[in-house]
Amino acid sequence: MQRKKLFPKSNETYSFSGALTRAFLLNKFNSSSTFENNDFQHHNNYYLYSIQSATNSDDYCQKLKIKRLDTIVLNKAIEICFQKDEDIYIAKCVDFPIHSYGDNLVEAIDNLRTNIEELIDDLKSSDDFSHKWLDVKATILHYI
Amino acid sequence: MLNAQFDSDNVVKICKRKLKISFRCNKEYNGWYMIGKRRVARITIPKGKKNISPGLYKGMAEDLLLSTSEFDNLMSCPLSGDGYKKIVQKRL
Repeated sequence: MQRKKLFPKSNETYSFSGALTRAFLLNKFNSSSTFENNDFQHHNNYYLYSIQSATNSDDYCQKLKIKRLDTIVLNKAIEICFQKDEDIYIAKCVDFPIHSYGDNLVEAIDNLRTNIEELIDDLKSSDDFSHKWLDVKATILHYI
Repeated sequence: MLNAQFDSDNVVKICKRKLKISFRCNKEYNGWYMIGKRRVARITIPKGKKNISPGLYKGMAEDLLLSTSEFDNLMSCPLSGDGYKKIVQKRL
């Protein structure tokens, strides 16, 4: 399995608005260029994603926080990690067992956001789940 | 690992046929495996992937609470729907 290190630096946090997110991810994550601290202006009231580079011990699975879904406002950011696996990007939630895929990182993250919303809908619609998924339901309710 | 032998449409068809999973089809296929009325496993399958990477294949196996070798068996026929149900019931 080929793992490409997407973040060249560690322990740096970047936050930026939704409008800039796609361009940032598409332009930066698919290239080998490094980050610049002044790349993006901070918008304190409109964070969509904040990105934090991986620790040295976990350098193949980069981490990112989702602060908004399409229709659900989160009161706590959902931490996800992602990695490149051959020609596909895999994005996974850290705290519950859900993941999505995409041809690029933006698509993988967008799909994961949709997937999380669908999971929340499913979990809200019933209590007839296995113990594992009832635990997930209890966990995910802390985020909304 | 038999990931090179299947595409994502194969996985969807086998999940529907053997495991009776009904998929919600938006950006990806998402579906629950149910025992009776209880939802016990949820699988996510990307649309239209002709090549299934090892990580993707392993992810789908884990969604169904299977190892990759058990998922191989599910995909390539030795593992039936009833056989899968017995495996999953032990892991709940």
